[in-house]
Amino acid sequence: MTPTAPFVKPSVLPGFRLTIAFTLLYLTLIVLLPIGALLFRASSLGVHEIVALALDGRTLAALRLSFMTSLAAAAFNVPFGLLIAWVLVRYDFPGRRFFDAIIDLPFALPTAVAGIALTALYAPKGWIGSIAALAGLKIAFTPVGVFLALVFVGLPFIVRTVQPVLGELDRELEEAAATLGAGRLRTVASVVLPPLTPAILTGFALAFARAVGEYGSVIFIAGNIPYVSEIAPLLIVIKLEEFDYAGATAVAAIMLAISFATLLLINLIQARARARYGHV
Amino acid sequence: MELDIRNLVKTFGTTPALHGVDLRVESGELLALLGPSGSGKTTLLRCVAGLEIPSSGQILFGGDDASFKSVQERQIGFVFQHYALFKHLSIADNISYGLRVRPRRRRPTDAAIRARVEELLELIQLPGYGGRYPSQLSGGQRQRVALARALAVEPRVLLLDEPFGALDAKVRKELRLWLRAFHDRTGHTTLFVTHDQEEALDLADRVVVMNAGKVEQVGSPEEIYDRPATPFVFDFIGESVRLDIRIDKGRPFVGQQQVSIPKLPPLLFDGPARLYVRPEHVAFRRDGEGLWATVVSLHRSGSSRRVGFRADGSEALIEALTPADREPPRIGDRAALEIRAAGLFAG
Repeated sequence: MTPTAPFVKPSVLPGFRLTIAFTLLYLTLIVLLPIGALLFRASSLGVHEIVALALDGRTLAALRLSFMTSLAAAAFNVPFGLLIAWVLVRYDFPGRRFFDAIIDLPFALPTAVAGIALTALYAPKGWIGSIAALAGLKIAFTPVGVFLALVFVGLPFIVRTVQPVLGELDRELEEAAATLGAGRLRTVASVVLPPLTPAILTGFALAFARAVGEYGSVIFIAGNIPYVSEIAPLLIVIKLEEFDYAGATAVAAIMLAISFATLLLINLIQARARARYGHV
Repeated sequence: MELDIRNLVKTFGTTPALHGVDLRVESGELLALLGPSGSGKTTLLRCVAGLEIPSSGQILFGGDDASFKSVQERQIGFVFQHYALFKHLSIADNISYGLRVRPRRRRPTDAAIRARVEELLELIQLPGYGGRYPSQLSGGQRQRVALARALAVEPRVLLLDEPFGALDAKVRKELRLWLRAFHDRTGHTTLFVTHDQEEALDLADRVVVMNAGKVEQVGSPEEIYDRPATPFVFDFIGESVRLDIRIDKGRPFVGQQQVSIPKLPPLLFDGPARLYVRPEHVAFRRDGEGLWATVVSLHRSGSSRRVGFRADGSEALIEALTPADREPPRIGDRAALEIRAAGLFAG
């Protein structure tokens, strides 16, 4: 018998078999099984019908709105989340811990509560909405309202992913850049941001993923006008209420495919960023 | 370029870090700031760099007042204890960083920058390492890269903060010799901070001993070791024992015994005093004149043996060195000590 290299290398710290078994079982039960069921359900419709549904004007408009506002909101949160993380990490000021705790509110708040609060503010009769109305701008019940709600729910992701990395960053690097003659902006751009890039991308991906799936906080402020401010998750709910289960799962499957592709793309960019900064 | 520090004061909140430091560094000099932790040596260096803002006082670079200039304007080179290399940049990009961030009209051409990087890599004996990353280098190599990066901008003064502090003993010694040779070749005015007296005495042209935010003594390594100016320096540099003595009519006494110490200035006061004695300045005999003492300890340390004595009428442990191959005395033996040199301070 020829000895073969064991798949699992013997280790003084055992645990691989047990943990990998648990990981696979857990992932299967929690993630793969529901997605499999979704795809199975959608497949009952047939490729032809799925394509027809995907190319339907209302579906297309909803998908475009969902993904575009999600991307825009996640991108908008990057610079401002970065700024907030910077202030919370770098400066000590009265009430810092309080503001730090506030960051998590969009996580903790039931999304419907957030939606109602935002609508009250931005509706044409609300505090901010009435001011905007004076300028002839409409926020609630338009894509801008959807965007605002998604900015709200996405903020913690950027702040919380960047914060620990920024805290770990060695101040001496910035001092070194300064002694070499680099101005403050140059220092931030060339010394601080590169090591933060992987964390920023992670935060962006998380904020984006959350925004795509967001329902509760959006539907109130969106107004849900077909072709204008109707998001894809809502379309799924509408189809469910019409007992069009196949149609609902088909839209869900299309969302899943686009989301997966986008996250994969972000992950690839992130892997490249890590490789660039990987010499740590 | 010479450096003049005048009456520099720095307080952090209410904690004073520097109390009025005056110091002049000559052009081309290699000067060590030596002191225990908390003595203010790093604060002084960072004030010179512009990384700390002094509470009051002046810093002049060759007669040009830099007290209110920003770090960027001071044209200094700074080397950090933990290298502070940019991990996401290659060695070449690290070295050229200071040149590339210059405004366009003062920035050398790409070709000139590349040539400068090659020249510096040659100088730090790492030719061909330009494409690597900091993580692929050893600690000693990283510190040399940090030095090259600081030198690339042709600084007026080079400041090193515990440059060998993060390295192991052998590399530290090698790099120390290398830095001395490097300095002799390039001749930058250099200020370096260390808490390692061997390093300071070995490497520097002059040593500044600092304690509690003040300069205790400035001098050549020989002066510092052979003629410590204050009790602190005696205590901090080299080994010494402190004997509480009494001056009576201009003559020093340990207990009831008078001691004779050569080369002491005339004693113009009476009362208590402190005598600092180094082990290498103590000799002992079995008979004759001297400070009578009893052998209380024996230790072999490398090529020599330490013999510990307790003088009659004193509690202090006075150590003497004797070659290991000589027959040592036994514990409890009596001997007469001869003190060949010592420092004496009133109080």
